[in-house]
Amino acid sequence: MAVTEQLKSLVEEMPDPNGAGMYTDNIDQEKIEKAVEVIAKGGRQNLLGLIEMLGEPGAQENAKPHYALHCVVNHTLITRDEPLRKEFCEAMASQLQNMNLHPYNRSYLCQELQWAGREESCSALGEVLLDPDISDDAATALAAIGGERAAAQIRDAVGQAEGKSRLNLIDALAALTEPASADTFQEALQDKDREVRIAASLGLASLGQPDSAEPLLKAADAAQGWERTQLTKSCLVLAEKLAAGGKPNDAKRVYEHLQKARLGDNEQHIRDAAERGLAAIG
Amino acid sequence: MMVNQRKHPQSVSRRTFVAGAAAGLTAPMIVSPHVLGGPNKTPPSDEFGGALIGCGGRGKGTFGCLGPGVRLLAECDVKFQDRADNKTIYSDFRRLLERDDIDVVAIATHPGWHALISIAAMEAGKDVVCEKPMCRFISEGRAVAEAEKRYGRVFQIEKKGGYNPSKTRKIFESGLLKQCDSVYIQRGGFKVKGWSGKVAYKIDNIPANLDWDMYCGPAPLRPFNKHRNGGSHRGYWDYEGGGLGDMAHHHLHAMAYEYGRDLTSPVEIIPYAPPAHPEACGLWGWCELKYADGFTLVLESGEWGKPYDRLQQQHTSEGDLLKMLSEADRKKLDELPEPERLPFFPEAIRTRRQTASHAERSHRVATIYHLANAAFRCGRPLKFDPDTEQIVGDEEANRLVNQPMRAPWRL
Repeated sequence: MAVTEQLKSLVEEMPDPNGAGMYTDNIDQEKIEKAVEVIAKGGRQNLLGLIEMLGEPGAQENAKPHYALHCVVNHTLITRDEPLRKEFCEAMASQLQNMNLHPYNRSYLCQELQWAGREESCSALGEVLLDPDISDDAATALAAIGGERAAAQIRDAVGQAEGKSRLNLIDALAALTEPASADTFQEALQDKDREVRIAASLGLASLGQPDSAEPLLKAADAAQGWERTQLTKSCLVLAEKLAAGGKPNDAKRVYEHLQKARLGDNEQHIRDAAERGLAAIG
Repeated sequence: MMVNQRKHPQSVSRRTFVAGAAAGLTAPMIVSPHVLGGPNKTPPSDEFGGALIGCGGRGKGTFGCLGPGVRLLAECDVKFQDRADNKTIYSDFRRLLERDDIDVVAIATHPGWHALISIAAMEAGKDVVCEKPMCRFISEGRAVAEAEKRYGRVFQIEKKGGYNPSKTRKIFESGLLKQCDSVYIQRGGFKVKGWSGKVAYKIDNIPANLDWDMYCGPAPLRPFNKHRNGGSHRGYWDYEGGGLGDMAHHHLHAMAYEYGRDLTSPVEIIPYAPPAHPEACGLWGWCELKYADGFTLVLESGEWGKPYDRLQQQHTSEGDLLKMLSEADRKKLDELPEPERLPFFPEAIRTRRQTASHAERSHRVATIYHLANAAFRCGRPLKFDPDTEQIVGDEEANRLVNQPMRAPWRL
């Protein structure tokens, strides 16, 4: 039991929502910050206590602990107290699979890790990537934390992921732009789900590797409608990456292909974009 | 002249490459079929096919910014789930954007969608008028500006623009003024309390006609609460940025143009606000934003805390600014051409020129208030690099600059 009487009284120092449920009246900065500082000094036990105090989404009794939790986590960033930040993030990570918590609050913990987590939070977030209640939030938290360690957690889970979870993972992986993810993107480019294919194409494009050009162009040429537009964007992004990365000949091949393959009246802007790209390469 | 080119002293980045590839687009950009006319093509000044995405409060007004000669062919809104026929009524903008007969799009959804739909529309070859604010965070604004350049599209923020090129504008655009101790204070007009979010609320039933998942879009899928839907969406970080996010563009677009703040971004941001709530936008007192050239912009809400008293408004008149130039530079200034007056959307789509509130300019304006909000949310001063568009030395604060999105939405 991490909820002490002292913690309860400190949480009571948080503002009361007004009649409309808002924090727009009598917001006393000094009082809030003083209480937050004392709660933070209590370390892991107080943080776990705040988590225990969280209530149903939107409920009046949830408002103060919900607000206090965020303020306390952010306090470690304001004071640049790295050991305390790590301690708090590890405490939140330890509760991601606590099924006594409302799914809304497990999502909230992912969102707080998105706010303040670093490498220490990656493996706990990786473990809940396939949990349908919090897969979205775990994936975006890892995308925000960034780095190969976050990407590795996602790649490890991709093989078992299906449906929305699989989309979440490929999408987050695309945002992370880690070269080790290239094979995962190549495979996902053939996925049965259109949005997974689009996410994979952008992941490949963002890596800016010349050998991505052929599969990307082939996939884009075969696609229709929204998917064609998005995959073509990935081809243009790849060309820009190649040109900026000192591979003008590879970029040129992508642009020239697009000029020849986008012949519809509705694709004039793509031909023009390719022409400008070629002109910029010189 | 192209006023939105930025300097990238480091190695060539993809962004630099995109900007370079787009150089020379301003006049003329792309020769549209509408300009050329010809067989099966409508000649200039005639009709454009238009669509409205987001049909709530600002919808009609935003569509009106497309100008005369635009025929409304389709409307799209996530609240049309029960009546979408995918012919004239849509609930998914992706299907609407697949249509070839739609040339121009007006976007008046909640702002959490503004950037993504603007980009998607330009990728599909459409020109765009988007309601303010242009984006929800800084990287979104950059992506809109990149899309505008990559696809050679016309973009305008609602009806912003049309400013008279003044001597003040000319001074800043010339680059002759290297240091400037002007202090510009915007007091009030931010509707801070009015556009705050709820921290305690009732969970409501999702209306049958509303696609709530699509409404939330790139933001977390929250329990439905009526206050998050409709105009009061402004009170939630998921969709906008409170009164500051909603109102600042009105106050700052003309100021940014006049004082050349659309050419760069602040480098130091000092906030005064109580600790922010993670989801509900709330109160703030003021924010001081300093630029590399010394120019200081102050935003003061007048709705919370002690009044701003660190600096007084000063040196903002044309005469003040001219005095900051040497005699030789004043002569050079006189010899320079007058600033170009860019057109509004209706003229821009016919002449394929940028509008006066093109994406790069609007992005720089949006960056001002997004930085202020980021500093309020972080509860600490921030330093910003206007070239890389990253917060300096603060990894966690940077997560507000580029926020991951819920799949399948991505920049």
